[in-house]
Amino acid sequence: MLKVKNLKKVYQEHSLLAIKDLSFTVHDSEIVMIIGPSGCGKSTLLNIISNNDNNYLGEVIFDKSKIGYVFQEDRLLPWKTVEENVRLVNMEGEREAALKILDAVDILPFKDYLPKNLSGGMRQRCSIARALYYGSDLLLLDEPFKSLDHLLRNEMLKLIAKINQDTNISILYVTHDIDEALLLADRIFVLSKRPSIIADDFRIIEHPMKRNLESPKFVDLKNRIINTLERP
Amino acid sequence: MTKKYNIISFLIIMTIWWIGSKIFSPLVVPSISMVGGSILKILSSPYLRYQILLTLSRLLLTLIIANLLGFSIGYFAGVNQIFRKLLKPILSVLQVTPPVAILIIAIMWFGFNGKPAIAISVLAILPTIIISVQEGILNIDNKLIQMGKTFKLSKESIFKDIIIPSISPHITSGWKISLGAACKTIVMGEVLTTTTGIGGNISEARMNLESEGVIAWTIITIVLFGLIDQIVKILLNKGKKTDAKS
Repeated sequence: MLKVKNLKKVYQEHSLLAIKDLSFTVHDSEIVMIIGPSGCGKSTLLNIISNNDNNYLGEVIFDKSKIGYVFQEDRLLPWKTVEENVRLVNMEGEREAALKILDAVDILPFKDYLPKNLSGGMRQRCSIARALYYGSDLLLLDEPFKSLDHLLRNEMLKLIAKINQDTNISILYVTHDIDEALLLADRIFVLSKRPSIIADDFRIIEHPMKRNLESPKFVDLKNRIINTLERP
Repeated sequence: MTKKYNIISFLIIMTIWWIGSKIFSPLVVPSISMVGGSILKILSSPYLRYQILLTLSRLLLTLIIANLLGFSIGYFAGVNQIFRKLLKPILSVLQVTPPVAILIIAIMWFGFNGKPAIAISVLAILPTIIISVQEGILNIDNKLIQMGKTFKLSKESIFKDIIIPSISPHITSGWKISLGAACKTIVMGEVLTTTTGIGGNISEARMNLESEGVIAWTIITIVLFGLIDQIVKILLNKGKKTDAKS
């Protein structure tokens, strides 16, 4: 379980209050998606949770050890093959396990390829495989499929849903795409404009990726999210 | 195809040389056979072979000193902005200073013993090494370092798997350029400051009016440094990843 309590982040050099007072919980095996306008501090929040930024006020408590991160860009090492990129984050791990994960995300036939020879979707699959092989208990995703086309993005969302179902990994996913959140999330937090607070919180019980976004319930939900986002 | 052109080019040079040797006196253009004989003499004489080794050892010393200095200075310039700014004008001056100008000072400091040749050679290649290391450090992608820290890679792994491969393309191109420059300046330095080594022997042959000796030593130098260049290129390419599919 991840607990964020009264989180406050100030960029001292610009005297900028990025996050005002943020508190939320991500339960085990839950998919939480955070939506917010550009520049509201979504990536800052993930950097704090992943321990890349220790300059904040408040508390971030995670009762397990490993947090994996799927960045906006794949951040694969260009000089290492797909398999080497994945195995780098867990050198003691067994090769068989790495190959199994590569197979699960459907890039096993490309294990000896360098990232430059893969498509954007394949590179992000590799990036997901790396986070899984790391042994993550919590997976942070920072708009990882932003640059992918609609079909491919849907395919990747299905993959995330499957990973969550098969492994029970908790997922904290930051996005600005409302449809993406409505399709995948168990819970949606809507952040306000900077300085950000949680402006609204929605719970969805339908099975991820098996939702009809044109049904009245989801159309209404979408409108409520839009209204919250547009609030001054 | 390239091989064919190389052979044709070689034959053209030999023909021009042969015609030149028929027209001019042996003092101006010695015959091919005279130069060939001179090369054989040099290669069969243990003393003259030692002279080649002497130049090679000076070259090796030059590369060691220049790389030790270049890596340390380049690293600090890469990580410290103030040091980088202070260094910039010094590097600019070094890059445009003719080695011969430094040679006179080096002779005054070290005397006529081959050390000035090493000194000017080091100074000739130092800016290239410093700049290549500095650029390599500056071009490390911080996002990759952050990725390494996120996945809790050890410091050793971040250095070995991220930092070294990030800076190595800059360093290898710096090495390729500086090797050629070091070869040329070391022989030039020897010609002007000592009677030992390849350059010293070229100088001596010139003083004894042995044109064939000058050309023989020059050919040996070109072949030797050409071989070193090829060996270094092969070694550097070996370090690159070849097993990855495209």
